[in-house]
This record gives sequence, C-alpha cells and structure tokens, in this order.
Amino acid sequence: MDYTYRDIAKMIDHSLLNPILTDEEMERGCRIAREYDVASVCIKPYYLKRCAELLAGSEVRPSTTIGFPHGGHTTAIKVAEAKQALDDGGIELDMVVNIGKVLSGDWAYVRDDIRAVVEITHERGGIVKVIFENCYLQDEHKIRLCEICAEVGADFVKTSTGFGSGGATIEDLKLMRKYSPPHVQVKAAGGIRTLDALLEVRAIGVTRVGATRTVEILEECKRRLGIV
Amino acid sequence: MKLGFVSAILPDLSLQEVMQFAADEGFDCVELMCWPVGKAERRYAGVTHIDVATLDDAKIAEIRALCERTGVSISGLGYYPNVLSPHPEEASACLEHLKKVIAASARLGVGLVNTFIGRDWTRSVEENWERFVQVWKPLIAYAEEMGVRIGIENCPMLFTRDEWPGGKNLATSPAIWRRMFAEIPSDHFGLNFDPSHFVWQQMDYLKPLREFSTKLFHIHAKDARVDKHRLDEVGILATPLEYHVPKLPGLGDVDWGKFFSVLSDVGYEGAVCIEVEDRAYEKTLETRQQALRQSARYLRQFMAGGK
Repeated sequence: MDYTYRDIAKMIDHSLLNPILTDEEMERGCRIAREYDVASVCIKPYYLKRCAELLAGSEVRPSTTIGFPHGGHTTAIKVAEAKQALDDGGIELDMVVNIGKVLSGDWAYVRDDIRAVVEITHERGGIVKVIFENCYLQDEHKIRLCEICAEVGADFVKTSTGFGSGGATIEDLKLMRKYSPPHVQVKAAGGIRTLDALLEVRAIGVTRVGATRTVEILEECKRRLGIV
Repeated sequence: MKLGFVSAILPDLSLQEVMQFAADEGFDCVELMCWPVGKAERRYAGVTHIDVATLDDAKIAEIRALCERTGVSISGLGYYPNVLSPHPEEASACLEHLKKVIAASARLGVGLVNTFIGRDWTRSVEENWERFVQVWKPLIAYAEEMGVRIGIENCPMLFTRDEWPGGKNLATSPAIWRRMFAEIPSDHFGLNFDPSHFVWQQMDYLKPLREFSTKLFHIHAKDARVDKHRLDEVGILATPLEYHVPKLPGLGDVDWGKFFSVLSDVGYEGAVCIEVEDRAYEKTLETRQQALRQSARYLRQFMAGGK
C-alpha cells in the first residue's frame, strides 16, 4: 500500500451541495468531516459561516461554491459571492466557469471572469478551484480552459459540479493533468463513490476529489490499512 | 431469487407479527410499508410497518434483531406517494417523507426504496417533464449519497375517475423509462417492475426485462385479468378498472412460466414480492393470509433456491 489514512482523507472535499439537504443534514455532514479529518467541507454558500464555526480548531477547511451550478452569473456577482464566502470563513472556493461563454469561444470573457475571482481570493489568502463542467464541453474547450487557468494562477482545475449530465471521467482527468502545469492541481468531482475509484484517479495525478460517500470511502481505507 | 410479499396487505398486523407470519410461511423477505403515520389516502396506502419519522438507534437494533431471529430479510422499504402532485403542500410533504424513508433504508442496511415518480395527472408527460427533472435529480443524488437505490414501480396509478386522465405516476412505459434514465443517469435509479400493469395496457411485459435487466432492482408479483366482455362494452378509453381486475399471481393473464423464464435468463437474483390487491380475497385477515399462501405455493414452482 503506497498510502496512509491521512493521504486519502486529505484528498477529500466532503460535498454538502445537494439542494435538498436540510440544515440538520449539513450540520451532521460537518461533524462527520471533522471526525474523519478530511481536506475540506464544500457546503452550500448560505451555510458556510456555520460550517466554519463547526470546523474551527480542526484542520478541515471550510469551502463553498461560486456561480454554482450553471456558471452563468455575472462576474460582479461571482466576485461578490467570493467576498462574502471569504468573510464567512471560506478558504477554498469552487467556481464554475461561464459555460455558455466557453462554448461561444469568448475566451477573453472567460479569462477575465476566472481572473476576477482568483485575484480577490488570493488577496485574502484563499485558493480557487475552477470547475469546467466537462459533460457539456469538447476536448478543445477543456484544453483551452487548462491553459487559461494556468495563466491566471488558479490553484485547481476541477471536472464537474456533480449536478450536470455527467461527472469525472478518467479520460478527462488525464487530459486535464496533461494540459495543466505541475503547480495547478486536478480535482475530480461527480461519481467518485468508492475507495477504488479514488485510488484510480490518484494514480493518474489527481490530488483532490469531491465526495459525498466519505464515510464509506474512509471506513474502507481504514479496513484495508488494518486501522481499527 | 428470493420470495417475499408486500406488507401493505397486512395492515392489522404489527411489524413483529408480519415478520413472524413470513417466517412461519417460509418467505425469504418482506417489502415493508413506510407511510407516514395517519389516515390512508387510498386503498393499500397508509400502512406503517416502520415509522421512519421516529426511527432511532434502539428501534434500528430491534428491527435488525427481528430479521435475525425470524430469518426474514427486508427486500426494500415501500412508500408510494405523489411527489409531483400539483398541490405544493402535498408534494413537499411527500418529498420530505420520502427523504426520511431513504435515510431509514440506509440506516437499516436495506439499501433499497420502492416508490413512484409521481405526476400531475391533469397534465401531459411533456408538461410534467421539467418538474420531474427538477425534483428527481437532487433526490437521486441524495439517494446516491446515502448509498440507497431507488426502484420505481411501473404502475400508471390510473384506475378510476380520481386519477383521470393521466394517472399519478409518470414511469409507465419503456419509452418513458428510457428518457427518464437518460435524463438522470445513475446506477441508483432503477425499477420495481410489476408485470400486471403491462397486461391491462396491452403491452409486452417480457421484452423490457431484457432491455432493462440492469435496472431491475425489485419485482412485484401481481396479476391482472382483462375482462374482454367488459372491454368490448367500454373500450380502452374507459377508466381501467372498468375492464380489468387485479388478481393473485396465477389467476390472471400473466404467463408466469415465461416471466420467470426470461427473468432468470437475464440474471435477476433479487426479490420477488407478492402484492395482493385482489378484492376477492380481502374479506378478513385470514383470507388475505390465505391469498399470500396460495400465491406463494403457485410461484414457488418457478423459483429455484429460497426456502
């Protein structure tokens, strides 16, 4: 085994983004994330402040989404969302690109949109993961987005919201790893439900996954490592 | 395959009594009804063998011990409301309760919930579609998060004037299932298939078993008899109970030999639960229990394994 429990746990962004999750369910989700000591909790924006309180004193980072899930918000709104998220204690922000603008080939717009969120977030010490929503894109779009993300200094490129018509695929992850420079990390989201799926993407250079089945994945990890 | 029954037909028995009856009669499993406690809105609904609203760790342990002791497993939790009802309060109450049933299924280690898609029966399939996607996409994502599969029964929920003209469940045909599963591709989203509903709709109930073999999460064994003399009087546009009668397996038009023949060919290994909705057998608890006995005796000839 080439991994420790911590290696795996610190790859997981525990996702609490489903629109039908209640306060009580999100509260429970935060406690689980803390107990299993994952990388972050990615929670619906309105609950980020409470999430940060629940995670205070732990190594689990509060995070949320920007322009979720369709990415069509104006840049000003995305920036305002980012500001509020940072004010509320968010450290990692998962931002959706303007998918329609990507498909239109308006790269200047797409670049400015991402850059605006990256700048404000970096100024305040946070990091940005840029969600492509690959299920709607062709390879040429994904490659161009990798180049733009590198250029504007995004910290991660990320496959999906988990709410489009498809999630992370091995082909896309390989492509994103290949066309991103080493300092830009790759996050897989949508469909990573087992430890084996996580290990498979880890093997090709993915360093973070969005997961909802966190407990099952990490219990399986403990079992394999013989941790009681 | 495992032989069981749907607990809705035994509303007068407690959970313990249902499981004991199942054990005494040699059933492998039971689909347990999980309606909210309260008044039933229609026949066969409103039965609560597990109250998911008050399910705590102690009750979970109790239910698991009951399964252990009787040797009868829970094939799925059943709750068949209309989450797409045009009445917003009803729809949201159903949705809230369905989420609780899903969470309960996870906590009990059952992993399956059987239900309906629902429908605004006054509108067309097309007019229902956007709302279907809006409600079900997050719901299936929620089920995935919980590790619970959702089996949708193919009942049109159109029997009398009350559900006319569209019925209260969208998932009535292979054409709609295809579109439904393309819209929400998930290995947690499948079928609780009941051949009887295809009989009265004049549809082939064998062909879908092949195409949708990976989506067969659960089977209801109910039969139906189309009364030609009635159909000749009223035509197919009449409300369906005017020309067909739900019956016990073996007493209607389903060819169960062929049904199990194809079911075993496609590799189905799950539960087959007898669903008694035959009014000729509903006079007393004793006759309803006899209906389950008779149905089990008839179906066992087609099933390898089990008890």
